[in-house]
Amino acid sequence: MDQAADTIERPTRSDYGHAGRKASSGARRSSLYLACSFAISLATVGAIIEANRRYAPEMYRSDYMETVAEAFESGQHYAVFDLNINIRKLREEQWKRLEGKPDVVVLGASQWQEASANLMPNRHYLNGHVHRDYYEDVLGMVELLVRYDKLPKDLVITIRDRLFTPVSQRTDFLWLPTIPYFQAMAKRLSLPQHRLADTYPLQRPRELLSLPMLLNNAARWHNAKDRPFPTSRHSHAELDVLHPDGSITWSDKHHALFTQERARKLAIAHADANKNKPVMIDPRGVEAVDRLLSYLAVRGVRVHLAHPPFNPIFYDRIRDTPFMAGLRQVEAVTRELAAKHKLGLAGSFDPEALGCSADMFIDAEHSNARCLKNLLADVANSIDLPMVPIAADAPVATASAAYHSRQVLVASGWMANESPTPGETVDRAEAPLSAVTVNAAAVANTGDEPALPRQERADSLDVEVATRAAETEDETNGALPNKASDDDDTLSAADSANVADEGLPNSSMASASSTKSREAVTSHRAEQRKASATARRHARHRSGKPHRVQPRAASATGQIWPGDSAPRRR
Amino acid sequence: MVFHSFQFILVFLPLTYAGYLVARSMAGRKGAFRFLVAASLLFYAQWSAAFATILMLSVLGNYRLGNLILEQGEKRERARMLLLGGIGLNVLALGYFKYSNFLIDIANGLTSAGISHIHLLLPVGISFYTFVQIGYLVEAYNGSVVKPAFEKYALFAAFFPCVTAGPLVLQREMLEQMDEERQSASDAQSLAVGLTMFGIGLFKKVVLADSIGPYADAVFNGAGAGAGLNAVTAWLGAVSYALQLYFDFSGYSDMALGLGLMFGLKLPLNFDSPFKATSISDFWRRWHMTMTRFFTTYIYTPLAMRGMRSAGARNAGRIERFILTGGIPALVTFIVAGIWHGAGWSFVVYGLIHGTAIAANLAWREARLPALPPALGWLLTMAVVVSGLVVFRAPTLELSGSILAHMWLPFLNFASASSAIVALDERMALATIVLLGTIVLLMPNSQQILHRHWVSSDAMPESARVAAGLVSWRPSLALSVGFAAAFSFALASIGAGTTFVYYQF
Repeated sequence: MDQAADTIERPTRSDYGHAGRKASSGARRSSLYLACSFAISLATVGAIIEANRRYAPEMYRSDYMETVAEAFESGQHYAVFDLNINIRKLREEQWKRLEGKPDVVVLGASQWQEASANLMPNRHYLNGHVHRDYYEDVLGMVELLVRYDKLPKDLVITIRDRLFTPVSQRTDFLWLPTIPYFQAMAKRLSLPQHRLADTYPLQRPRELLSLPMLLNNAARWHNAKDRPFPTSRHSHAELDVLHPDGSITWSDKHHALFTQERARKLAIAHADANKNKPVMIDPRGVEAVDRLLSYLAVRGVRVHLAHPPFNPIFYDRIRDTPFMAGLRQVEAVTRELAAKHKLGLAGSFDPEALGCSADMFIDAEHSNARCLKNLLADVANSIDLPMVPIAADAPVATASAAYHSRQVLVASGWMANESPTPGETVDRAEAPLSAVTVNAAAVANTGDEPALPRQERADSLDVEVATRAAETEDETNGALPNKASDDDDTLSAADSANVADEGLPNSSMASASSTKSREAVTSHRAEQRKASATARRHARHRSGKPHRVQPRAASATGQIWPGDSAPRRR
Repeated sequence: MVFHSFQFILVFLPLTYAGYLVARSMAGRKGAFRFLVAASLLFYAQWSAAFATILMLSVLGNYRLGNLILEQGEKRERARMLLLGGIGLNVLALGYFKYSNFLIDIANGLTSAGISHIHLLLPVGISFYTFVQIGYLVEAYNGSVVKPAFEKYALFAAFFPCVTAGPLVLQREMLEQMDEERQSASDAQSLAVGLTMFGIGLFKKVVLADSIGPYADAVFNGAGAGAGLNAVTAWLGAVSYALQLYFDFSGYSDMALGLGLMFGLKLPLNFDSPFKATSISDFWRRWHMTMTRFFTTYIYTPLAMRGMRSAGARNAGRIERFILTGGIPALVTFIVAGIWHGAGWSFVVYGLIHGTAIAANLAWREARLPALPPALGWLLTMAVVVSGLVVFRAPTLELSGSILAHMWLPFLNFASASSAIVALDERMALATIVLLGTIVLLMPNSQQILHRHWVSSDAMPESARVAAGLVSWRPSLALSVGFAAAFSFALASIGAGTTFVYYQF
């Protein structure tokens, strides 16, 4: 064999002698070697892929998303090792099975992940966040809503900092599974399709092929006490829990990790890593969202554009940096879109503007339910009240001030008296910025009194929903989404009200002129909650049922309906 | 797109190979070369279309210049002017992309002019394809080549296995193979040997180099960020980097050789177990061999010849003769080689260290001093190599000075800027160094393992057969199992975002 192999140097096909025969033998051996190598490599690689699929099915098996969606359909939650699942596919499977049309759907990135239905209790609310979304996700998720006839009355489209990043500048890959949905919507909107070479989802196969990933997945699988499973429990000690409303609850293990010091360090590191990176805006992305908004308007969907807040530590650290300049550009684009389509604007990149403090964040940009409540409050205000378009050509500072003023006005109820009726739109020319700011000043002088009726209504709603949730949970043994389970920490209603009142930044940020009336409202709410909780406890005592409290989110925040929020702006 | 990426291994390579076979069967070798030129440009354009345009302009310009030089025949002065003009243009283009900001820094330092840096992206491999083509112009001037067909020249200058980081091929060694009627081995044999060589390179890169790289990064980046060092961490970092660079670059070179072989073109060797060298001259005969050959041929030898003439003319004494014929050429050659690697004083110092060491080695031999015992020679050589690579890797001279001081003067009590020591798992780092050190010192190298089917355009030394010992490859069932296991392991270990260290040069 060695001799034969040595002839590789100079085989001559024309030579029918000894050398030629040896060359032919060498070629045959080489072919055999190649065939064996190929077959064994293929088998080894296949084994690695299969093992990865076995040890992390929620990550790598698209059919597994059907299992998760089926669990949701039956009212259960789903506990997973890792939240970085193919959430886009899950959305499709879930929405396909959804009964009825939702009232409100939130589209955005993982900043929304903790925003549960409890934050918008009187609506059929769906959290449609996907990890690290880009504009293709916005179009893709709307395509799913259209495809399965689930377009809501109100749709929140979140414009995050990197939403319009050009495809060529992206370094992550989680968005790639959305491409089929995006292409379908792009076709509906007569937009150009993305090239296959730019959007082929290579990263998933790459992960599937990864030996280090396999070792991690196998170790996690074998060391875990519990493996991914459908559950009636709202939370889990070691696994993160996905809920049917689209939100998530971190595991207790994760919660223990989320210290303020860790969040501070992550926020600083993220700021330092990003502050000099410009935020790139792809005009094609803006055009795509623009056309989508027109498409939705024709179908009667009321769209609200929202900016998610950053951790204040991060936000302070990026002031006067290229990144901040980029955020301003994104804000300008958002304002332009809002003005063109006469849409409501909600939220802000500036956490202070939303009343979100550093202790509400787990890192640079992911906030907890307390902050998200404030963000949803803005949205809810837009839903209840007519929208105020901001002039697209307004200078950033002016527009921002006007926008902030609007928040004050909305929170104080002024808009209800002065604006057109819900559903009507305001022409830009009819709502000049100067008028808005003047009225804001006028309201600031009059205090919060006009808001009282709204707050009272919201308060009673709050109690009613909490009661309903607790009672339903008793009936269904905690199977409904986002309801407190047996293991939930059991703050009493009165406690939760106190916690909320002490902890909410809204309270501390309230203006001096509104303090008195807000105190009255807070006191009134606390009284109502106490009474309601006492009534429930008595009822349970009589029925022999165990003591239950409000849903977790409500307990943690105290306030559910945004109408009871105090002014959040400086 | 790098060689150790799924895009390359699973998409580009199979498609290119299939296209090559089809093109060859339909249009012969010429058609195959044209196809390979197109594939090479496509491969290169994956970085940037602008870079590919620069490469094409460089190839077209140098091809035209080379032909002009060849056409001059006996008009030597005109040919010489064309050669100098061609070299000047190439160096100017390289200098613009690579050295503009370095020169601006120097100008600012000298004049306080405050000139702003130019925002430039360095085209991948520009140092390599520029020097390869300068070599062609010189060979054209020397009359050692005949006018090649354009597709052959373009393939020589832009062949995708070597366009990004070498080996620095000579025009004659490529064209001779291209001129052959048929390739020397069957497709199956070439593919089997080439793939095996590629697999060895892939394993070196993604399994060995990338596993020790983090330890080097921890020390250099940590110290750069202000963390404290001690002698142990400094040594671990320095040796880790030396091993990382070797496995990274020799892995790349093995892959390039394997790829070349698959497409019927043998490339020159770049590495020959450099860490087994027992003198610094020996080291440079084994480390980045094509670069050493280039600089020896085009800088060291002409300088030494000139020095010899000068020494002869002035009847110089022994020491002066050595300085003119060995010392100065060695220093100049290695300083140029250092600057070729990158723009910065670190690279100048790196060249200076090696130039001085080579000059000392030549002086030792010139003085006819007794040869050092191999172990002592090895220790001295490695001391220079590892120290030089500290300067090569550290982003600033201050940092390299600090690391070297911790390595060589551990008894001094250094005041550290920070109380925190660089975060390094010293035990794991040491274990990895021992493992990889054993491989480089005791195992045969890639071409020795494949000595039965010599993979390079260089002649096979007789020692290769002996060095291989029992680890000798041949196309057998047992070895196919071993190869497939190693290849799959490497394929499954490909990490995201790592590139070849030499791509930055």
